[in-house]
Formats: sequence, C-alpha cells, structure tokens
Amino acid sequence: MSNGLVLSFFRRASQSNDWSQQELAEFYRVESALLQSGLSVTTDQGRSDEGDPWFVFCRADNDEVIAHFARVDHEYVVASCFHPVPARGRDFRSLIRDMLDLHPLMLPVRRRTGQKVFLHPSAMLLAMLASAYFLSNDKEVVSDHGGTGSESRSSLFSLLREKALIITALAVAWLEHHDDPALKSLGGSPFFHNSSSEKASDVVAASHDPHLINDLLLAQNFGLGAHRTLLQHASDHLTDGSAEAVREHTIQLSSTTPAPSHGNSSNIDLTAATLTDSSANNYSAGAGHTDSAVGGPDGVTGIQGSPPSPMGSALAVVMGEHESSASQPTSSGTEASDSVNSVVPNNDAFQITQLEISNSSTGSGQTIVLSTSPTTLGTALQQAFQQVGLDANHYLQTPLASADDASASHNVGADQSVQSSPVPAAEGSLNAVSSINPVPVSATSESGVSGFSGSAEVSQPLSLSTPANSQTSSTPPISTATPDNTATPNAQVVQEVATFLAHTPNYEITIAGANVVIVDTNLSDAQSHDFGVQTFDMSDGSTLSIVGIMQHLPFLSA
Amino acid sequence: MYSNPQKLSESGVLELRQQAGRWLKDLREARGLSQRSLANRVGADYYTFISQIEAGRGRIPPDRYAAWAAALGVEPKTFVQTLLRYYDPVTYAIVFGD
Repeated sequence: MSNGLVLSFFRRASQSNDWSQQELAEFYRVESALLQSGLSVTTDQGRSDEGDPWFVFCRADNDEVIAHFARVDHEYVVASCFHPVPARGRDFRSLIRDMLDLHPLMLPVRRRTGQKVFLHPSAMLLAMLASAYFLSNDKEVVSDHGGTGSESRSSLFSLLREKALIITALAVAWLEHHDDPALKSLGGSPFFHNSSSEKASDVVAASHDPHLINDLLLAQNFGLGAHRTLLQHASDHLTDGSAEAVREHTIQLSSTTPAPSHGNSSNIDLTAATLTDSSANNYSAGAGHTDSAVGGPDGVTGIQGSPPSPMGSALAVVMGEHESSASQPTSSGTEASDSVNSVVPNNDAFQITQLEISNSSTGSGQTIVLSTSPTTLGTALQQAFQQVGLDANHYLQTPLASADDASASHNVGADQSVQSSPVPAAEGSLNAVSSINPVPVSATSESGVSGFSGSAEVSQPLSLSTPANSQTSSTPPISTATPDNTATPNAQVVQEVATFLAHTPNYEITIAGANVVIVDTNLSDAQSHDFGVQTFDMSDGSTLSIVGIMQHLPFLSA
Repeated sequence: MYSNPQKLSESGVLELRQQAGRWLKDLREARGLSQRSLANRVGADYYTFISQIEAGRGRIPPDRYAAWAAALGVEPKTFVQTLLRYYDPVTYAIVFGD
C-alpha cells in the first residue's frame, strides 16, 4: 500500500502493508512501559487473509484483549473497552485523543475555562492503553474459596491507584525514551520500576493525596508537552531536624539541559513553582541547585536557585503532612526538598498552583496555572450535603486558596481546545453548563474488545467498583478542614447536588485539585440510558462533574 | 456482570484459544468464506477481529454464538458445546464429563 493519505502516528511503511518498524517499536515501547509500571500485559500481532495488519494488547492474567489496532482499507482502526464502537480514521493521533476524551475520569478534566490538559502525542497511546487496562479490570473476581466473588475495594482508592500507575507508565516511557544519563539515574527510583503487583501497592500507599495525584498529572502533561521535563515522584522520608519526624510526599520536577551533543532538545526550563497552603498563602520555589533558603508567605521567593547546570536542574516541591513514623532523608531531591521544607510550614497540605517556565533562547517566560481552588464549589457542596443530612466535612477537601490567587495569565499549551464558552458571572454563580447533552459513558463488552458494537452487554462503565454505601467506606477522608464560608455558592448548584444525592443511594466523591466528581456507583444505574456526565464550570475555575442518572438533576429534568 | 476467568495457566488459556481459532478457521475455509465476508455475516465491526480470533486472541462474545454458528454452517448447540471446551474447559468437563 502506498497511499500517503493516512496520517500515521509514526512514519508509514513505504511499501509493505504490514506495520512499519517504527509502528512496532512504538507498540513494544508502550508494552514495556506498561510492564514496568506493574500492568501485566501481553501483545500479539498478525495479518488478515488480505494482508492487513493488526496488533493487540491483552491482559496477562486472563488473556482478554484490551485494545485492538489494525489498518484496514487505508484507515486505522482502534477498538478498546473505551468505547463500544471502534474508532476509524486516517489520523491515528486523533483517534487516540478522541478515545481519551471520552473518559474524563481517567485523565484530568479540562482546567479553567475551555482549556484541556494535553498529553504529548507519544504519551497518548500509553495513557489510553493504561486506562483501558483498568477499564477492563472492572469485573468481579471469583474467589478460589467461594463467596460472592465480588472484590470489595474502594473506588476512590482504585481511581487514585490507577491514575498513579498511568503516571508511572508515562514516566517510564519518558525515561526509556531519553538517553540522558542523568535522567537514567533518576529512573532508578523504585517507583519507576514496579514490575510486580506487590510493588504496585507501594504506589498506592504514596497516592492518597488527591492534590498530589492531580498535580502529578498536570505536571507530567506539562513536562511531556515541553519535551524537556521529567517528573519524578517519590515518597521520600525527610526530616525537619526536630524530634518530630515528618513524612513528606515529594514531587520533583527535573528539567535538564543536555549537553550540546544531544542536540535535539528545546530550550524550555522550569524556573519556579508556586505553592499554596490552606491559609491561601503562596510560596514560590525556584529551580536549580538550592543552597540557600529565604522567604515566606505571600509570594516571597522561597528558594534562591542557581542557574541550571549543563546536567540539569531540579525543583522539588514538598507536600507535607505530619506523621509519627520515623523517617530518613533520601533521594536526589532531598537537598531541594529540605530547602523548601525550611521555608514553608510542615503542618499544612500544599498544592502546586502554578509553574513558571522560561525559554532560554528567546528569554521569554510563561506562567502555567496548574490549579485553582474550589472555594465556591466546596462551600456549595457543603451546603448540599447539609441539606441531605450528611457531614460535608467528612468528605470534602478544604479549598486551599481563593480563585484570585491563581488568576494570572496562563497558557496551558498549544494543544488546548475550547469546548465551552462560559459566561462571566459573579462569584459564586454557575458560570456555564458544559456538555448540555450528557456524554454517554462507555459501555464495555463483557469480553473486552469484542469486535462488535451495539448489543454488547453493558458493564460498569467507570473504573470504580461499587461497595455499598461507599461514601462511608473505610477510605479515610482526604481532609476534614473547614471550607471557606465566605464564598456564596449559587443556590442552583446546591440544589442540583442535593437533589442528586437524595436520589442516589450509593455514590462516591473524587476530588482532584479544583475538580470534584460525584459518581453514582449503583451498577443498575450505570446501565441506564439516562446515565451520563454533567459538568458545571464554576466561577472560581473549579469544576463539578456529576456522573449518574441525569434525570436526577433538576436542571436537566426541568 | 459477566465474568469468566480461567483458572488455567496463562499458556494453557492461550493454547486452548489457539485450538479454538484453528477450528474456527477450518470451518470458515471449508465454507469458502473470507475473513471479511465472515465478519459481515456475524456483524463484526472490523474484519481483522476474525483474524485475531483465529490466532487465539480473545473470544467470540456469547451473544454472537448463534450468528457464528449460522455463518459457519454448524448446528448452534454443537457449535457452543465445542467452543465451551476451549473457552471454559472447567464448565465443559462438569457438564459433559469429558
């Protein structure tokens, strides 16, 4: 086949109809990254009787196919449990992107107005497959020793774990893709080398903080988009030098400047990050090899960093929480982490709210707002919970900052797209309702990728298991601090949430930064034609997504 | 929710499915059908799925058993019974004592 109209994710094979070496290399690279992230997969490939190539990814534990790729009649075909109907098209990249867009829970929903978190094209395939793996896992497990066979687990816990592993897979891929020895050494972290399911549990243990997960995702997206930034996440054990040991989660963003011989890199460096604590104080951390620390709240520079060295610079951001366990300083990020640790209090949760990057070739700088805080939304949810007699503080994350703190100019990336056009509104009001038509959530064939659409049995569409009364599951509350009561939420939002909760016996709430998702976890509801997703954009930049029976939303049923 | 995990080793599952694939391929070729024409008859959305099944990857969804049996000219009960031997040997052994 020599038709050049197919926009390959890779370079097309010149003559053969088979996969090109580059295509196969990409598939196997993704397989390797999945394996190293603890996702046990196998692959296989073949050609039809007409010579058209196909390639499948299978779960190693049950040999079920989770994704099928083919090239048929000059078009790519992508089938997975993401969607009951296979995607077809000449642009492989668009197919994968469209599939990812179908699952707002698998990757962060759009940030702020009309913006979408983006993934570098080389990461989209990996993200899709890692997500498909977990979607395919949403099945009951039959125990060897009888019983119901239903594996009881917290869906919030699972979601965080899944996101963490997706990040890991992305990071592994990035590491493998980069031959910089400095990056290789960073890749020695055990976090990146989880090759067993037991190791995967370590990832879970380090993934309780939703802000951490959210910021990891965003930072990773940022990094891949910039071609230059490596994300390393480690559950480091740091000490503040006092008798009380403090366990820290550390995010380290390493931006390297390779030697000139490497040649092909961009000139973008991460130069600073801003953290916000629960009192809405801002802290800035500069990139570089930190050797002094000064500053304090309200935007004062926290770390004086030296310029990036030829081998790279590092920015460590500490997200701390008290814990009584002993700790040991470890990791390459310790020095920077200690410096940050010395200028920000340890007893609060922190959220990375913005990153500053610079282009050394042009001298231009750019601020990327990573997170805004659900001040208004948090208050709205609290009131809604109170209406139905629930203790909101048990479930809701405290707003960490006012929206104004993170309202600087921003530009997430060239790949952003606009899906809605919110109307400016007063603080506390509903900005706009996006996705007026509920987005149908994926129906998953019972056997994963079945080759058929339409009448396939619908299984639970989200990667969330369904413990009864899950809102009172054993998963500890993320935070119990008190929301900012000064915000005035829109009464309509409060009513929407309260009505939904009143009609939905089993639900779970997932909070990732400024994005809150309430999911109806009733299996029978998930099979309803009225099951969908409704996202509300709030004036403070936060979003509320309700996943469930849309008729339970007064706004839509009116 | 349908669940049918195989308690066989990974290689055992694959080997049985490869046997099923060869059986299905023989049936198709005996009927003079191409993979594309079979896909059309059984309602598959992409015909490379037939090649995938014949290679022993994945399974025919149960709600398509009847369509496959008809397309391949096999009595449905016999078709499903044979498939069950490959796809779910534990159930097959209990029901049919083989």
